[in-house]
Amino acid sequence: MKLMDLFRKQPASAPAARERLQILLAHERAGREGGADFLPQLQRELLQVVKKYVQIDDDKVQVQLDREGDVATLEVNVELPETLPEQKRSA
Amino acid sequence: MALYYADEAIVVTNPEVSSVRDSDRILGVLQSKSKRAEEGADPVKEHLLLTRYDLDRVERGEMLAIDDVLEILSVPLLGVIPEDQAVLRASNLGQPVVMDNESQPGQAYGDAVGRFLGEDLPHRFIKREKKGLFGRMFRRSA
Repeated sequence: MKLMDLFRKQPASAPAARERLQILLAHERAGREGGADFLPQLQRELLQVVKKYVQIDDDKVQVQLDREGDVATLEVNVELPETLPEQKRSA
Repeated sequence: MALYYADEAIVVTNPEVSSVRDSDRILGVLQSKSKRAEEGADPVKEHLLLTRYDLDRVERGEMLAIDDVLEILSVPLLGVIPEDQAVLRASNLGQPVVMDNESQPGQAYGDAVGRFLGEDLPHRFIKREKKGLFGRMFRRSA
């Protein structure tokens, strides 16, 4: 009986469920995005766009997603060839 | 993967942490691994069906409310199925509860089907109507 009384007087648990879910899902969604999910495709498409204007090797576009605390940083590194001005003229 | 070719998806969730979490995962799969996602086509159309919804517990703050789940998952609501003994009874008998028009879940499933097919139906059994076990047991229509 004592135990049951204790049980009844417990504060509402739904807010806790809500909070747990928000933390859990924020973490899991971040993990999904940080994974190999869209980054390879982003890299491929960026490469295609750059290639429309500049001749570069396939490995010259690098994308990387970093996460620190609440801030996510998408780092895109495009390495252009040194002969760029010449190609620009011919294009 | 069964959902690969899906055009529409009805994600069924209970108002519980584990269930909502699983639903969020499957929504992620729909948005990234389905044929539509891979081909960059229009995304799979998502619907949320919230089952085992217990109004008493929601009102006591003991269960996630509809709005909580909708806010967390951000998927349009197709229907809410109230927690009811009729579901287990139908399952025991091998008769789909949607055939049981007397029961609230049966009617709620019927509504959900109607909405899925384009009917504009209000959500039922999501607000307090009548109190008391007796009234609930013998209420035949909402």
